[in-house]
Amino acid sequence: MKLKTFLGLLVGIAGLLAAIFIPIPGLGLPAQITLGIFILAAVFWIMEPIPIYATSMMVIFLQIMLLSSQGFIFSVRTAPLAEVSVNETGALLVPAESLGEDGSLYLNKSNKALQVVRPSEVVDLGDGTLAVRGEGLNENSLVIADPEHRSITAGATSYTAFYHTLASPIIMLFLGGFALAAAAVKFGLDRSLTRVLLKPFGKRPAMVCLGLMLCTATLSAFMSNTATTAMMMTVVLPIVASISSTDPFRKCVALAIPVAANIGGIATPIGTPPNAVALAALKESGINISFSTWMVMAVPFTIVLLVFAWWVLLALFKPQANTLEIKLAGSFDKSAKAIASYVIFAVTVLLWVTEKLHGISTTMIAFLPVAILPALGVLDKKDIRGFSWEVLWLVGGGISLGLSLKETGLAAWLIGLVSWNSLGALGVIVVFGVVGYLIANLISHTVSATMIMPLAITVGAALAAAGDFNLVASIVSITAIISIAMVLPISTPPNAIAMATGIIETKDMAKVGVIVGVAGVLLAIVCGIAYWPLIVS
Amino acid sequence: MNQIYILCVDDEADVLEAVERDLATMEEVFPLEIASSADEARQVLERIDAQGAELGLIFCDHVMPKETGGEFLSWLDGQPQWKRSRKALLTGQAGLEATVSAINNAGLDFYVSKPWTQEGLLQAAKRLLTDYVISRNIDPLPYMSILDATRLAEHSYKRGLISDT
Amino acid sequence: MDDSLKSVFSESTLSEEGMRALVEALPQLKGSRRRFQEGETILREGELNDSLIILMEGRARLLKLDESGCSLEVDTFGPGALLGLTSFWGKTEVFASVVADTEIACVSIDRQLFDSLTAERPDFVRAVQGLFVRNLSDRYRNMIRSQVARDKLSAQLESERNQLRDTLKRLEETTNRLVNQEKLATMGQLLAGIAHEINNPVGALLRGIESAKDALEKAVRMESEGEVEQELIREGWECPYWSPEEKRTRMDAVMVDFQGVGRPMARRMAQLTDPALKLIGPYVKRKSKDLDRLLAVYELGVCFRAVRLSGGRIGKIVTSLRNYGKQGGSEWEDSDLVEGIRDTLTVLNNRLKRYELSLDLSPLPKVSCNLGEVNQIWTNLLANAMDATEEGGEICVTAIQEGEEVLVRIEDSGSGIDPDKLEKVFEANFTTKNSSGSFGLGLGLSISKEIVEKHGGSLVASNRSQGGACFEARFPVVG
Repeated sequence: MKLKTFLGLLVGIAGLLAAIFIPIPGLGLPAQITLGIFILAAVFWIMEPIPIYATSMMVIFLQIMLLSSQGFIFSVRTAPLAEVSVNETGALLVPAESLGEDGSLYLNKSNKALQVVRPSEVVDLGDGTLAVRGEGLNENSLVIADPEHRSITAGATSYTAFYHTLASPIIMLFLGGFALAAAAVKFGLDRSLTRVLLKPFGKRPAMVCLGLMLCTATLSAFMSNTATTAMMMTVVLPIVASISSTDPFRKCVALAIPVAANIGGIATPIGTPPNAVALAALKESGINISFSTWMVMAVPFTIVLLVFAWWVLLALFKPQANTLEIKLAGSFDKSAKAIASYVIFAVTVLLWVTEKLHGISTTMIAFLPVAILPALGVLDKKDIRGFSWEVLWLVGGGISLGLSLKETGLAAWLIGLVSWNSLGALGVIVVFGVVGYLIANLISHTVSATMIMPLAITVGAALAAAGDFNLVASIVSITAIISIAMVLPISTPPNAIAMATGIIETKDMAKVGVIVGVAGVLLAIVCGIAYWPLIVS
Repeated sequence: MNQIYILCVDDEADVLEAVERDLATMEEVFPLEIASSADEARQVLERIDAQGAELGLIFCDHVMPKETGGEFLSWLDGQPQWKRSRKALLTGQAGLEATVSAINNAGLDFYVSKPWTQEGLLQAAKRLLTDYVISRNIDPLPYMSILDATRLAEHSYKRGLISDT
Repeated sequence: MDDSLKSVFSESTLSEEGMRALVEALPQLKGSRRRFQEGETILREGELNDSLIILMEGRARLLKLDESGCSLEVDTFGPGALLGLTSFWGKTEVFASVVADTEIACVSIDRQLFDSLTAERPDFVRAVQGLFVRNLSDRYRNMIRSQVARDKLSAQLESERNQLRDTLKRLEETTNRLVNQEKLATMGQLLAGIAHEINNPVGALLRGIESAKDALEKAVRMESEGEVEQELIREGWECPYWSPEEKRTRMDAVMVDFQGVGRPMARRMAQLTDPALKLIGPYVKRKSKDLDRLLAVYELGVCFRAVRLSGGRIGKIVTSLRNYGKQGGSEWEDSDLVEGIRDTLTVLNNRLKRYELSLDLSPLPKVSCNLGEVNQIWTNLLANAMDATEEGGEICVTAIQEGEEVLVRIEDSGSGIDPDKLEKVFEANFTTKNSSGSFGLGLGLSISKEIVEKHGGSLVASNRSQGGACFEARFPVVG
């Protein structure tokens, strides 16, 4: 085992145990356990002793075992039972301590779930025994002796709540996106679109570069950023090979693709997994954002940043050649299944952006391609197996962890460590944005969003309640900032692919990443403060 | 990421040294091993196997004492752990018959005739290793810079080998 | 009258007197005398014959048509012969034509006359019958006689044909041998020619690489201090071919001694000789910028060395080829057989390296021989040994002096020779399989034996007790 793996495992597990067993003032046991799981997940996600999706699965497993009302710790089975008997009048005799301060009795219902009963009549018999009457109270009732027991006070959620995160509407939205993308890849729609979209951009290197970037961004708005980058690389590599090896434009083209793919992912809710994490966090706070609303906010931002990135790339890597020949062979697949996939793609996107007209939510429409494409035989079981299921697990685990952070009050407690009110809306976006940007450059964007978002939303919700704070705009702003963290090859998979081609060096990527990133952070903050609040109130 | 080895087998020291020198540039990504006979190659393979590493490609001379390259590759093709390794015969001697037999029985993927050029050898190595990486569904990123990046990129997006994180 | 005719017909053919007597005795015949000119057909094959002809004067030939329509002479008749006997008597078609060879006089008895004679002269009938029977039995005897003669003739013919076949075979063998010898001679000339052609560029190559190395040494020396570089070139020039095992060990050692060195660098450093490693080591530890250049300088030396050694190898192979191919019947020299054996081994190396070869070649006194031809023996014997032995098997070549003889023994661990056939192996067309020696030069054991015997030596085949065949060739030492 590598040292890093070992250290990761050790620190993660030690963090989990320490958070559980070292008492922390102001934190209850559930919050402490949640903190432990959070630390373990954070360490595992950062140091990656196990794959990040495996960490997400581990999070859910730990939650159902340690945090659920059926788990090892908070199960009602762990509570001591009172000795009860029935007197001659039919009243149930219970120990006086077992009655809660609010006059409730707590029962272990069929040895599984907690049942709260408010007795209709309570008579103090004086010898430490109470005679109680009420619905459902009889000699077989399993009365819990200690109303202060953790299984009662913790207010633990059922394990099914954690499982439900895997089928949350946001996950389904992404599943829909996957189905569309799989069909598009299967019938070469992505390549065909690239061919068509690139045509108007002619042969001048600068324009070709812009064409490639717009193309990449458009595709990555609907497909995974990574798949888009890999696909575009198959288009770009032959072009690069035709460019003289001393021409800096090689690097320009090779960098344009991942930059555009990362930026393009921001454009739609299904563009990249951090969007899902943000949407899920907002949903938890009772806010639903439609596909079109997101696009109205994000698309202008995307276009501005894309054009800026194009300008930066051309400035840094000035093309020497005057013309660039692009040969893209192929034509649209015109088979029945291919046409079916185009139609479903168009209909789904159309329904997504017209939510305001028909009122069917984005996440419901997302199931249309999931249901129809396999039914038409456009996707077979091999294609369905080919979905990036681990991404869904990753997001699902994040949502589940966010659930506990909020429910156990850990998020509120963590937030309480800082005095946010003095910062104001700008300060909150800047702090979370900058922290998120820094983390996201080093680790997975989704994981960064997973760790930042529950805290941001807690602060935001508190500020929003106090007025003068636009929760949606701030969250979208922070999400966008996380998505443009692309300084290093490890920052995003598209960056890794571009690096792997061996055309660019880390310093080239860092240069572009920092300039575009900083500009993007600034633009996102400006939008979050001044522009987006105009769209969502 | 598993290490993927390249193994060169030739009984003649000067030829072996030349092949080794020509393939040295691949070693940044693919560790190189050499052997001067089929028996020694087996020992090397055992060691590779014990490390949990894989054999991506073998260049084997045909005319060798005791066991010909064709026979050795044929044996290799019968071993489950080496079945998918790409196999190339490197020789100036084998007639058509030996070549046909090697293709039929040894799962031969390529035939390099001596004298070879470094460019030809590297091209063959890159193509065969690209085939190997694709056939094994290995994460192609670490190999992209040295192998056929276009094919690897195409493979990875078609098969969804890498996803957003 | 009766008696006169009895004498006339007591023979199978008629005598001249008998003829005269017959014509006299039978006045009816006077009117049936006929004459034929030379070449005229008396009886035609296939036609019906209505008369019995008695040849009086001249000669006639009996001609029979064969399948192709040519007439073959079957018999000749003189005066007194009876013609058309069977066709007349049996009323059948004429079996063979009768053609006059000279002018002919004859008596032609037609059926009418014959019938009247038969009716008038009972003695004629009796005489004629007797004549017929005798004539026929005569023909039968002749037939048997000719059958016997024919059998004798065909037997003689058969033996002549066999003789002819043997002669042809010998002729063919001789031709083959001549062709083979011619082939060898051509091959030898060809080899010598090619060897010469190759030797020239190889020589230039070897000289060139030496000069290149010297020039490089001077070049690096002039450029800067250059001592390290010069030393590295020299070390590279002398660097041995590391075996894969040594290479691995050295790579491992480098990776232990120089922490943080990756495999590509370790491989380059493993190539270094110990003195070179000592020179380079400090640069590695310092992570000096010069390291890559210095290694390249050393590798230049190594490449030069590879060219030098490979060029040398080509040179050696070429020399062996030239020696091996030395041909020409008259070139008898006092030669060292071991040299020839070594050349043969080099030429056959490609096949031989698949076998366990054990050599015991002690220095031998010279033998007067045609080295090219003698090398053929070794080629044949080695090729046979390899054919008879499975790959990986053992082949031993021993050359020792035994008294006044030089003994060369070639043994294999193959299937050996069937004891019944130990003698036969040297016969001309003996073969156990369709074996062709290397380069298709194998001329067979018979020729090998012939060559040995031409040199006054002997070639003997035997089986080894531990299995496999053993051939021993002995040559007399030069006196």
